[in-house]
Amino acid sequence: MTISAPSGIISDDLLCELAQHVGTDQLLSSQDELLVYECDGYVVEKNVPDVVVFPQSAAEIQAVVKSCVRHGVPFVPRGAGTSLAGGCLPVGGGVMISLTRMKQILEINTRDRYAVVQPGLVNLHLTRALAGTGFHYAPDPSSQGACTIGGNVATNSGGPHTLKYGVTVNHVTGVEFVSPTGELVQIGGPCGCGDDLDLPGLFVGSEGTFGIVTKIWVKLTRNPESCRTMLAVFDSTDDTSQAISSIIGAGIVPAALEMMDQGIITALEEAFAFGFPLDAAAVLLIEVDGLDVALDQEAETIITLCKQSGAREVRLSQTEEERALLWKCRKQAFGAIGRLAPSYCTQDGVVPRTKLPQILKFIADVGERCNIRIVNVFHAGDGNLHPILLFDERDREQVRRVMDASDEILEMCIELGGSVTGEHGIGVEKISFMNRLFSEQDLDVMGDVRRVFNPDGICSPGKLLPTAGACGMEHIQREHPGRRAAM
Amino acid sequence: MSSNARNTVTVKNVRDIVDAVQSAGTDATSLTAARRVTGNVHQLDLSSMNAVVEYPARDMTITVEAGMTLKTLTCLLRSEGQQLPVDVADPEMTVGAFVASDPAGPRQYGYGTLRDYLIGIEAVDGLGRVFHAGGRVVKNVAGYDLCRLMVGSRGSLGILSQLTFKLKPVPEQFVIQQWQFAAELDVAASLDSLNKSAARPVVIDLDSPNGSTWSLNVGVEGPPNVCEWQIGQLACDMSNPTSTEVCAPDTTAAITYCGSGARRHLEAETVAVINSLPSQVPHVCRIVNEQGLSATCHAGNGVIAVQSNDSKPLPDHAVDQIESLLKDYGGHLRITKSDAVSRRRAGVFSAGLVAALDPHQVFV
Repeated sequence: MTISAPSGIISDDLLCELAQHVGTDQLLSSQDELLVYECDGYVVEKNVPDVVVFPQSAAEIQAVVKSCVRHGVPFVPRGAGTSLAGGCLPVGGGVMISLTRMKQILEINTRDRYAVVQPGLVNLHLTRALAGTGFHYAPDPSSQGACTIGGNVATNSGGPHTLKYGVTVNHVTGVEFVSPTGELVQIGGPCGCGDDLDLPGLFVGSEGTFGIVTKIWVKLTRNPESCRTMLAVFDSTDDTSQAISSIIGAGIVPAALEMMDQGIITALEEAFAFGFPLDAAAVLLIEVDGLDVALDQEAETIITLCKQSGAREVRLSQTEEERALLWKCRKQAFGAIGRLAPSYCTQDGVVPRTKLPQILKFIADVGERCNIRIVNVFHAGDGNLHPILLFDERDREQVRRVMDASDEILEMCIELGGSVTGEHGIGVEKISFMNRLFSEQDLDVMGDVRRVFNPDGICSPGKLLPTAGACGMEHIQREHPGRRAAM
Repeated sequence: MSSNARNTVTVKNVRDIVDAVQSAGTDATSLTAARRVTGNVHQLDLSSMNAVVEYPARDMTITVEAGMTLKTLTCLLRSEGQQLPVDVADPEMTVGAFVASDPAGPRQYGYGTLRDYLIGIEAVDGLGRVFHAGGRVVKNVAGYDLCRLMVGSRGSLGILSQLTFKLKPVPEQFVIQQWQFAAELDVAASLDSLNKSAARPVVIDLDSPNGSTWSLNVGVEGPPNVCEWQIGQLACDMSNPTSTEVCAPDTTAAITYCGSGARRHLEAETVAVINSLPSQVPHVCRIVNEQGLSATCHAGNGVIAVQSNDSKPLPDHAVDQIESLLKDYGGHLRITKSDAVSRRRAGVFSAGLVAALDPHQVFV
């Protein structure tokens, strides 16, 4: 790594201080090296940071933050850069604090069901470390092979199995962080918050605007004894939605309930040749887990409900290999999209589960009206949609239509009583929707809450709230829709 | 909005709450929605705000006004085979007070606490601002999660006016089995085994009244054959029990047990509440019992209520001993008093949040 002459808002003095804090070999400042950090999984808005540092301890982060504060330079944390909403975009430039070197598992305590990890630990690595203990870390975003637990804390990540097990906030009991003024603070811990406010609950999902996470206490979950995985095939999306509603309404909480429509089925079949029926309108991937003694009855009930809702066929996985292939298809669905179009854009809206028929019909209508092909693969049990809009980004007219269609879909999610994001976060991508989702007073209160942690707006500016006034909080005009990786 | 001589302000809608808060700010008086009020404080009566705002049962969410009693809410949910699986100590308590006080009973082991179920709020802060957070869908990461902030905030940040919960189905059967022990080592070994039991208990409670006998109450749920299978597995997990008996044979009895369990932690006899690691529960119980006090524990979660029949407090040296133990792993000890509101041990950010949302100290 080489230290180049500082650019933009970074002075020579600050650059020297940063180099002293982390070492010259753990700092990037040349333009060609910085280019890698211009965006995350949300590739629409880009901005190159002025400097990237790679601290290895909380003390180094404190020193970096204090230098930034002293020089009035904004800073932003970054994990693996898999955010799908621009959560680690360095709005206004400044110092990017990459946490990838802080990836230790500090403690695993299965008796008391918790682990302590550093923020740069890859999500899947914790579950791998727990192999053979009978426990796992429940939140499982589809990017879990790459995303970090610190990043999961920032965005309150979900995943297919969060229908039963909950999202990140349900599994975090404590956080240590460097505050935007450079203090090292611990909130919560293995025994929770005691008599204090639930600050870890507030911190999770704050998208890096409350400080830089240095340590996380997470709950460990017992592995299910067994599971049953089913694939239900439907001739209409209405019937599919009805089946989802019936299953949830019957009081069954599957571990996962995922829907894939015909467009995705076609792409997956080409990629994996699983044997999906190409003439099906949609399929449901349903998994129940728990005590083996209970599962056959649950699976039987689900099969009956699916058939009553119009499923023409329900397949029950007979082997672990068959189950693994089904999940491979689901988790790699986005990888198969490349077979359908050169570019794609995914939204993350949520609707009440009973509103799925309406929103799916609306999405189809929007696609037709805007002349954009839209396919769907999503967490149906949560009502968390991921409509994928297919297009060619070289065609500016198509790009405009995709943006219009995306906005219409998210507007309809709000109208149906839902939200614009179920698991990706607001970031910079959906910031313009915040004042449609919340009132001015709601946002005022949230702004006050942010100022308690981040009084000068110097930490992760320009994220989550559409308020202006702090450094680097200039509004970003979207010019292109996002092209995304996986959910 | 109306008020009476006892300084009770009855509110019928969120606008009334705003008016009450703004009046209190102007008059430099204090306001609370709590039932027990001391001193020169105006009490807000939200009992008229008891409507169901929306109950899309098949979405398994419900939105209600904060003045609805838990008894009403429970009955309503039962009619759809659903529940808010947080144990109710006092059925007459309002939903808003329940959230503000965040009690957690025996089922927190299997179901978590209120923070896992509150998905949307409407509230009024100390400046009279009506604000919302979360929403009515079960998965939502838009904006700061002020819902979790309000859980257990004891009215220090605002008056809750409307709440949305996600719900769970009522299990087909819920039963609780009790095992008795005569040796601490056997209790500890049994608790260790339960942590990896083939069964999946939703309740693990321990009563340690005197340091010479212990009762372990373990709850399981599911279809009858699944409960029966689990009870069989649990029997294998127990180390040298002196006896066993059915503690709650059916769902009604089990829910009643859980309500009592939640209540016991709030009773006047409770002189301290300890948040420990689950593995340390027998050790902490021993310290408590050595002082002639009893301990009732949600052992699976490491929550211990120290109880005294004659209001005898936990002696200072025992407090020091327990705090020293808890300090090693980040546990908490809260000394409670039945005749006064205990003071919150707040960190700098909590104090900052209270100051931001209630700058004129309207709320007590």
